Amino acid sequence: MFKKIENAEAHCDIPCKIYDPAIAQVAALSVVRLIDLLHEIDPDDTSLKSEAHRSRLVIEKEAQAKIVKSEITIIWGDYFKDPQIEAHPDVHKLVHEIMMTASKCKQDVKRENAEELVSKVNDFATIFWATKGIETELIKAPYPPELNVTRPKLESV
Amino acid sequence: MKPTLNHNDLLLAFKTKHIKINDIIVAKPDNKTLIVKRVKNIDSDKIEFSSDNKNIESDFSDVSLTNNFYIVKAFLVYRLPFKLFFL
Repeated sequence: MFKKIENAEAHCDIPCKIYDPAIAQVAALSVVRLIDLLHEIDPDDTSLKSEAHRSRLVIEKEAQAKIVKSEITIIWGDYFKDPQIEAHPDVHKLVHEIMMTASKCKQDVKRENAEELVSKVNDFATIFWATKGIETELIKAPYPPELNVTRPKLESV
Repeated sequence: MKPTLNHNDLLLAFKTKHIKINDIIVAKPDNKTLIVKRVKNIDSDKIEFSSDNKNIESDFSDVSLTNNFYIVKAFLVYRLPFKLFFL
């Protein structure tokens, strides 16, 4: 009766389910740190070495802000489905604000913009972990710029 | 496709031209991957699928596909060890 029974997949792409806003949080902290380092450069030092250092920091600030945008977009676009959006209808507004704030960080060197980015990405992380029923806590990052970051309360093994 | 279907369920399906909304189908939209989905919408030559499990993403869910691929309608599920039910 059956020549061959074939496997049919219910999920045709890789159902890895590995999403974590931690990458975006580290990138947002990096933007703050890079802005701090830019402000530490002596503005009167116009040596080639100083200019090269300044350029490197600016390029890396740009790259880290892009990582924030990319990571948040992926989680928002791929992970958030109807049930998560219904539970957290403000997530669209928050993601848009993260995009705008990350752009501000790329355009400028104001620390307050980068601090706002860290704060908004923390809010996103809180929502993300809430969708998984995992509590979060605000801890002080153990590295510069030592700002507060949202982390999930996970079980020890 | 949880909670309707579980991994390793065996499906019995038949070829028919009368696929309706809410039917569970087995199809090969890209001529490579055999998938099981629920029919969400049918519009002339287009068909759209959805997953019962909303927590996992799928390339073939919630997109309008040109219906010129292999598609059969599933109607019976055998779940190991002794469960048998109609869809």
